[in-house]
Amino acid sequence: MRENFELAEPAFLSNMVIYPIGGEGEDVEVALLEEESRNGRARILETGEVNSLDVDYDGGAELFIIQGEEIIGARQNRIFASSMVLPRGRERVPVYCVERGRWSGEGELRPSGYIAFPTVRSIISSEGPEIQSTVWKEISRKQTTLKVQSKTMAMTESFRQRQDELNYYRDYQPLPDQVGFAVFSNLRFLGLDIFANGKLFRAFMEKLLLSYGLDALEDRMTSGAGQAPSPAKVLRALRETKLEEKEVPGTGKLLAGIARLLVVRKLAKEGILIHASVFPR
Amino acid sequence: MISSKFGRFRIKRWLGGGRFADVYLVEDPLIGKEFALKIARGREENLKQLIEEVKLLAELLHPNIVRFYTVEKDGERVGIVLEYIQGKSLREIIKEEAPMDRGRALMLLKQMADAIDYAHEKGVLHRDLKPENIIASGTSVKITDFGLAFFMEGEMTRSVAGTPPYMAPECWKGKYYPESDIFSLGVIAYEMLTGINPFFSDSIETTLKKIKKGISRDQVPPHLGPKIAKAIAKATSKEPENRFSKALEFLNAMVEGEDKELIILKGKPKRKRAELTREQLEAAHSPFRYTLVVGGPGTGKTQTLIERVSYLIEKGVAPEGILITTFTKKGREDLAERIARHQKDAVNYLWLGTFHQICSRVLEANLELIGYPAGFVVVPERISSAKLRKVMDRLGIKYSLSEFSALISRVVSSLRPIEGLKIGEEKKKALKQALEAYRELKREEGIMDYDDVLFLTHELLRKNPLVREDYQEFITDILVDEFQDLNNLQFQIIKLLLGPKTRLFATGDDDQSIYQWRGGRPELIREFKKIFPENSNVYLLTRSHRLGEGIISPALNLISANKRRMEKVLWSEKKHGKLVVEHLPTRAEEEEFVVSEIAQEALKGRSFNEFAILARSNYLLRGYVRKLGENEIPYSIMFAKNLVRKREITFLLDFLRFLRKPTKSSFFFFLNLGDKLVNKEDFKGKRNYVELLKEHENPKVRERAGFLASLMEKSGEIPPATALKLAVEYTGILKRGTLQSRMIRSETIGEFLDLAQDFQERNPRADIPGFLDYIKLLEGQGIFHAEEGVKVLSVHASKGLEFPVVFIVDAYEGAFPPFTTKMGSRRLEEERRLFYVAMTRATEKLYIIYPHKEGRNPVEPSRFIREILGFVPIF
Repeated sequence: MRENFELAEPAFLSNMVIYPIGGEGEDVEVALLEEESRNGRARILETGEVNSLDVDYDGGAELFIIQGEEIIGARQNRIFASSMVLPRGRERVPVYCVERGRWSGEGELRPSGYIAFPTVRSIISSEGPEIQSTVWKEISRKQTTLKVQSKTMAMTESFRQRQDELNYYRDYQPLPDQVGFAVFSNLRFLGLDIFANGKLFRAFMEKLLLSYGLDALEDRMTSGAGQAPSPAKVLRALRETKLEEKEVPGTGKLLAGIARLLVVRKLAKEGILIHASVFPR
Repeated sequence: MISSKFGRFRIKRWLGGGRFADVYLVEDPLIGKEFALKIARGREENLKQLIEEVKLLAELLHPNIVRFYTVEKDGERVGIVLEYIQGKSLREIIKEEAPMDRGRALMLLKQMADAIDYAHEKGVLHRDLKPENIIASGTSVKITDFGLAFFMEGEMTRSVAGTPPYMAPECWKGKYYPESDIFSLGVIAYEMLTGINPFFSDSIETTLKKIKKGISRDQVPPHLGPKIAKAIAKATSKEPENRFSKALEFLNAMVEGEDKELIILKGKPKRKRAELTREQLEAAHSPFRYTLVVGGPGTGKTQTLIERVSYLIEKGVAPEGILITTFTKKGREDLAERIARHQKDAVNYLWLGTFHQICSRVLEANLELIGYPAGFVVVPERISSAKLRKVMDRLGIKYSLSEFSALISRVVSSLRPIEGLKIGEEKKKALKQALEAYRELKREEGIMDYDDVLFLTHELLRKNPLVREDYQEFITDILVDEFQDLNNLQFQIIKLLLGPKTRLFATGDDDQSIYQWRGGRPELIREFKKIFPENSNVYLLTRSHRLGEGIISPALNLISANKRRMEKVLWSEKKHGKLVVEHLPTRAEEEEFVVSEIAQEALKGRSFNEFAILARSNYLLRGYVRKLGENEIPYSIMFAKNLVRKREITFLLDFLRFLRKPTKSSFFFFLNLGDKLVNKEDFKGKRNYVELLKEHENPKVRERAGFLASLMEKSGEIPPATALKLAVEYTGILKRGTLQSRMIRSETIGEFLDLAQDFQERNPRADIPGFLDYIKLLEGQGIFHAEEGVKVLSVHASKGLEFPVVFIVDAYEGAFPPFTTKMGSRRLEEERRLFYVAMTRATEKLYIIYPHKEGRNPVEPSRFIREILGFVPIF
């Protein structure tokens, strides 16, 4: 599996610092949930349980879903628990609820266009007890800090209500061979995402920028600098952390591990790295 | 997006930002100078107009105005390059100090007023004066963003610039006059002096309503006086023409009629740093990477360490990166309190703790890597030794528990194998077996003892380079107090935490090393330069500020008999200090003598707090405790401040009270602890509720009810310390919270268990009611609060303390030192150091006392007395 990536000069978006990560892209053909859902080839259905959904997929290439991708509607909004590659057919997948105050409604779920913010992705990447309740607590904390109001405590409202300020964090131009980035705020390391190739990275880039932006926006309230590992160190953790294989639906292989303050996850298929992420714990 | 360069400036980091602009710290690579670069989020459409405006700004050269340098363009973006000031915004200062000292507030306001009048004369209005735009550095302030409000607010709000709670009424209509800035200054002055913004509100409409009314005189607190009230009311009048036309007029109106000039205070009057000697300052400001400060008793080593902390913080070192270890919990508390006097803000960010507290934080962050089950418990020594007892019984090992417990601790803390111990082969074999089974049992039961916390941290750092490097990068400075008391394990942890750039600053005194018996390494002091040969230095503190020559000389006579020590100088300007060596026929008479001396001295006006009775071992003190009690002299036997007021202890005491006198509601309280299993109301009127619950359908209820019932039945027979251990296990009190909080709780409970054990040993028929009465008695005497009374302590417990009058009692061979024959020179040297520590606790008068007999057996005076005096007094 590819492990050598290069860091480029950082770019600044207000208090957010982005270190582009470049590398040779690998040939991977996958379909994306948002598009497949829009054209009706991917349907997301309730199972009657909070922490699982069925994905019914009828497309050509295998379907790639990124960890933290939000789907809304039906009985309550959810996010996918991990990145995965799904073949055609119906698959039961693990999810977390990101709308604590609702368990009503009908129909199917659809992608909201948002990816959970890094602190939530870090929680669902860690192995610990009571992940669901920790996710709810984190969403509630974030909404209080950012003065977001949502009767059902829906995460998606945090993005909607702070859209104007978040747009500033989207103003980013990727480098030609960029396959990912490591993102920092003035106070801390926010996270890292790397994809199989530039095309796949660019497909998620804006959503990820919004996602990182939500954490950066909170840190922007505090002037000054905090302490964070260097981007090179984060890349080193990605390369050297001891990983264990974890269960994941579909045809991909999920590897996960923890290096002190960082949580590392890699999704690979047939020896090719599809998506990797690193978050602070 | 802004790349790492903006025009010719290299961006270093984000400094801050508002809704419409960000400020970055940048460097001009041509001249190598740092600037602040302000970049608006708007685009260049208004560039021409901006350039016209900034031409005016370029004219502003005033010591209290942040200097404008140039405009820089990068693509479509425009940035304003300004002087970079390292300081705090007035907003931060208000947060910290408001209501501010009147003199200091006026001193800062005067500088602002000067700057405002100067800019107005040049035809530049600020239009957005607020505490965020005022930066204070030392005693001077600078106003930033003069005339930039429009630029910063961008196109959307071009007609109105400013920040609502500081905006004069006319500004809301887009009109600006010099008096508009004076209105803002009036609001700022009010906020500095009261800590309140009078116009702040949840809604903009309410803010506007309030602003239209201005600040009335009644709103100004009376203690500020009528002149200030009148001046602020005028500065914030609704109509611009009713305000002052110049800022300085406003300032003068506030002090009108006062003879003196404006009082200029250099900063908020802070508690002065203790006066430090040149040798202390040199050491505290050491430029070396590895620094050791060595000094005798009272030379101010800890004070030097505190100065080091302030020095580092003032140099810009982040407090989060400063790790400070102390040897005891009490040492940690004292140090935190003393640092807080100088670094109130930073103290909470420092990584300050005992070794166990620090290591538990490291383990907490890496639970997955240590292979221990989640939710494990750190148990106090009393509980861990019970587990070892269990293992030894199971294996049929007949050796003494305390010996094995000490041997295991020595093996773990020295990081050396059992083979290296100087004990018989059979004992080694048994020890190996016991250690292995003990470790297994602890893992099985999910518990750690105190040694494990250190050992596992060491293993974690040693085996995981990524983890180690993270800490090495994070920690910039390691400060170690009482360096001589570190055992090998602790020293190796420090070494693992030392990264390629980490600085080490240690203080200590090999003569005061009294923990060699549990692995302390006084040679760390003597061999510091050998251990750290590069970039290291040893500083000597020679002047004792605490002791007089009358104590120093005899103490040095004693300690110089030790061969393994670093030679050092100790002197004092104080000539006082009196040594009295006294001998009495029996121990009872010795006790009588001490108590009567205390009573007589107290009659002369000394407080009982000024006395300490020190003995080599706790058992030697019991007679004194009794005697003091009989004579109604207040005393304190421990320093656990407010121990019984700590939540975990009151909780355990509640459990004991329940066992002493069970009530239905307390039974249900402890039954439902943690999760509500049954409803008390369902058992209303049922007297046989215990029996019913023992038969309950829920097995958890059955188990808990059975356990509580059996304890209730046997409560008369269970000794208090055992009952407390059972309470700790049943209530799961050590399982809650983070590992760090569990560690601290465990230490507190350990202290309390020691107290119960001590009570039990002194009272063979000790029971729960007796123990509860004892606690009540101690509380009644104020003993837990340790504020009043004669301190009765073992020498080990007296380390770091000082008292005007000290009695070292039972200074005879067999008691101090505790062995008469076969004492190896190392152990004897440790005993000598212990005696030295005891002597140097006294600042004015030191008594050394010994009896002629112990029971019926004659005893010899301590050999240390001969070494101190050069002879032994004849009786």
